[in-house]
Parts: sequence; structure tokens; C-alpha cells
Amino acid sequence: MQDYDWTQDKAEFVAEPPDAPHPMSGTPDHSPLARQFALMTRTLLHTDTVAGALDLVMHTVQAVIPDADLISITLRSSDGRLHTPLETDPRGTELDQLQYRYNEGPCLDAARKEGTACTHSGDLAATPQWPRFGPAAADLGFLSVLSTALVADAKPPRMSGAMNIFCRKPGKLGDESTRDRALLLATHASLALAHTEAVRLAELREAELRKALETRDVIGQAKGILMNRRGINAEEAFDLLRRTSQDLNIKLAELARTLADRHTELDVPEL
Amino acid sequence: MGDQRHERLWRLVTERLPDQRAGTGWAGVVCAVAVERLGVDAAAVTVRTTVRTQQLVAATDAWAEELEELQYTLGEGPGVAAFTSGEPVLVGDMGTGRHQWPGFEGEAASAGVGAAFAFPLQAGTTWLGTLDLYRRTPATLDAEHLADAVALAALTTTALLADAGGDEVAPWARADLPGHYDEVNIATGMLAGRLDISLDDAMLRLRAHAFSHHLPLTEVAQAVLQHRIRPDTFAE
Repeated sequence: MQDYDWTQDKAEFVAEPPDAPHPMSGTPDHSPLARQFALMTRTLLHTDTVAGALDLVMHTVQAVIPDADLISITLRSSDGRLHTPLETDPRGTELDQLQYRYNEGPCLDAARKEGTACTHSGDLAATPQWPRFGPAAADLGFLSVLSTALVADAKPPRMSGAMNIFCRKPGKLGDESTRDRALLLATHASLALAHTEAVRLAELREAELRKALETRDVIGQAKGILMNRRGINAEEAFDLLRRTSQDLNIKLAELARTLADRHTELDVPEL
Repeated sequence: MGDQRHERLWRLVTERLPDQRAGTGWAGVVCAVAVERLGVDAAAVTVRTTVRTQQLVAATDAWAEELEELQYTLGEGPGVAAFTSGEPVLVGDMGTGRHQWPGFEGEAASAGVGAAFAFPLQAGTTWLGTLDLYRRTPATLDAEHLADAVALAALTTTALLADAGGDEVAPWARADLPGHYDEVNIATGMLAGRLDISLDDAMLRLRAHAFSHHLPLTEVAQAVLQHRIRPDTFAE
């Protein structure tokens, strides 16, 4: 995690009256919450790494949900394992490992359930939902939890996951306003994940495209070399290239490149 | 605001269909929208891998094709500059003789270019090519057109990636089909073989010949392929 001055930020928001307007209603220009959301959205637009975006989202969670004592982002890979790329406390990974070990817990529920985006418990020590994970989490000192699904529509190899918020006190994180804020922030995190996937895809396709176009140039040049050597036309040269590539079991592009690279030093007998 | 612009242009592009006969894919559609909306006379999309390596993807007319080829011949011009700098290149009056591109400016003036604007196409952390816009009379792009052009350049990247990697790969992106400058590559190979020189050297000599005789590079290449120019012409 980056070294934000969270304590100060948090103090500012705690100073806000408890009946402060809901972030999405009220007077957007003057509410510090709305300002925080607006700032985050603006900054997200200029953040091009997934880690940077998720980091920013977690920073905002810490700022707008005063009860958040620990925040973690959990992603589930296609083999079912849980990964904890970001956390405000190393115990985030520990909590995820407990859920993985017992195969139960809020993060698994949030990622698994269809339609329900949130899972909450205000009494981890005695919750019937997670008879094994609950008490184990309480042993680590966390009594309330709110998990919100991330990239709910994920298909392999893309990972689904959850944003988890833990509180040391019981009976916390269950109110509607906290849930709304968490949902909104999780949406931003999901968008960041989806966007990064798109960027990665663009780079991949870009590299393929570049290769295809370079290959085409080289094939053209190889045709010219053969036309000169054999006194044949462009079509015959291409046929010869294709036939030879099949006979020698070499890719057409590779054959063309060898011919182009070595034409002054080699006399390929087959050609 | 920016999103609305993007959405408006996106709709303008997607309400059309790629021209199957031209084989220029969605990139061709973007060019058509550019000419309709940006107050320019012609538009072209060129994929560039180096200053000297380019592939014409789509052009709205033969004039734009000619201007792209001119940059291919000379290795300079607004598109090449936008690609190497990663910044838009805006020349509102080509006739002011700024001598930025000693070769291109003169030839462009003869070809009747009043203004040229080139926008790099960003893909991830690199540049894929450029969206090049041309006007016959000098004029700058006003703020509205400039913002639209930048948004359209972003759409062009999406269009190129859709053409190159979708269910149906557009002809311009297929390695097994001859490219727009195929004859130039073939002539390069022929000349390299005949004169026993490197391919780079052969390409350079073709380009020098085209430039010094004020001929399009593709025409010189055709002349070589049809034995209308003797290879000795290119010997040192």
C-alpha cells in the first residue's frame, strides 16, 4: 500500500456529523464525501495500472467508511485459489487464507452468489453463516465484516473477487449507507479491473498486428528475391514459397525471413 | 463532457457498416466520419511500425493515398512526426515554409495540400499508427473539431484492434494477403537480389529514385517489376 496519510483523512470524515447526507444525494458541491468521490473518479481516469486504481479505491473506502479497520481486495483465480493483491493490514491475507482453508466466508459468498452483491455479519464470533471461519476471524480480532463482489460477471481466465471491509467492533458495517458506499466503491474497483483487462488485450492484439504486417513486408521481399533468381512472376514466386514451406515443414513467414536475411550469402538449393 | 463526445462519435461510427468491397474495415468507417464531421477534405489511417515501415489501412480518396505514400517515400511528414513524437501534429498552413520537412513540404504544396493534421493512435503504452487529415485550403482546426479529432483517434485504435482481432479479420490486417505497398516490397527484393545488396539498401535506392524524379514510390516499383527501368539505373 502507498503511504497515504489515512489517519488524518479518516479524522476529517469522522468529524462529519453521523447523519451526514448520503453521498449520492444532498448537495454534491459541498459534501466532503461527494468531493472525495469526485476526486477519486477524476484520479481513476488517469490511473492506468490496476494496482494504482485499486489502491485509490481502498484509500477512499478508508476515508468514507470510518468503521473500516482493515480493507482487502481478494481475487479468485480459476483454480479456486484466493489471492490478496492489496490490503491495508497483513492480516487481510491471513483472513483470506482462513476462508480458503475452511471453504467458507464472506468473500467466497460475495463472489459466489448471483445477484447479491454484499455479504455482512456483525457478529463473527457466533455467526451461523460461517461456523469455522467466523470464530477464527474473531480470534484475529475482527468482529464485523462487509464483503462486496467485484467483477461479478467474470469468466475464466479473468478472476472474480471481493472487496472486504473488517471492523474490530461488533454490530458494525451493516447500515444501509455503509453498504451503498461499499457498493459504489466496489463498482469503481470492478471497472478498474475490466479496464486493465482491456488495456492488456489491446497490447496483445497490437503486438500480433505488428507481427502480421512485418511478416507481410518480408513475404513481399522474398517474392522479389525469388522472381529475380528464377525469372518467375509474383504469383509463381508465392506458390514456390508456399510449396517449399510445406515440403520443409517451415512456417511461410520464417522461410521468407531467412531468404530475406540471408539472400546475399546463401543459395538455398530448394529455392 | 469528454464521455458525451466519445459516445456521440462512437454512434456516428457504429451506425454504419464497413465497406466489404474496399476491405478497409472499421478504420475505413472512421475515415469517412472524419471527413464528414471535422471540416477536412480527406482522411487516412496508416499503421506504422517504424519511420520507414508503414501500411495504408484506409483512405477516403486517391489524394489522401498519394499523401500517405509521399510520407512512405520520404520517411517524413505530419503522420511520421505524430507517430515518432506521440503528439498530435497540426499544420494549419502548409505553405508557410517552416522547413520542418524539406522533402514533404514542397511535394505536398505541389499536390495542393493547404493544411494537414495528424493524430497518433495509442494502444496500451505504444503507438499503433496515425489518423491523418488533409485540407486543400489553409485553416486551423477549431477547438470543437480538434476535440472531435482527438476522440476519433481514440476510436480509430479501437477500430483497428477490432479489424485485426475480431471474429472476422479485415483484409488489411491479414498477413497472407498482399498489402497496399506489396509491389514496393517485391521490387525491393528483386533489386536486392539483382544488385547483390541488402534489402534496406535496395529500399533506399528505390526511394531516392522516386524522390529525385518526383514519382510515387509504387510507380517506380511497378516500373522495376515490369522491367521498364533497368536495374543498372539503381547501381551506384
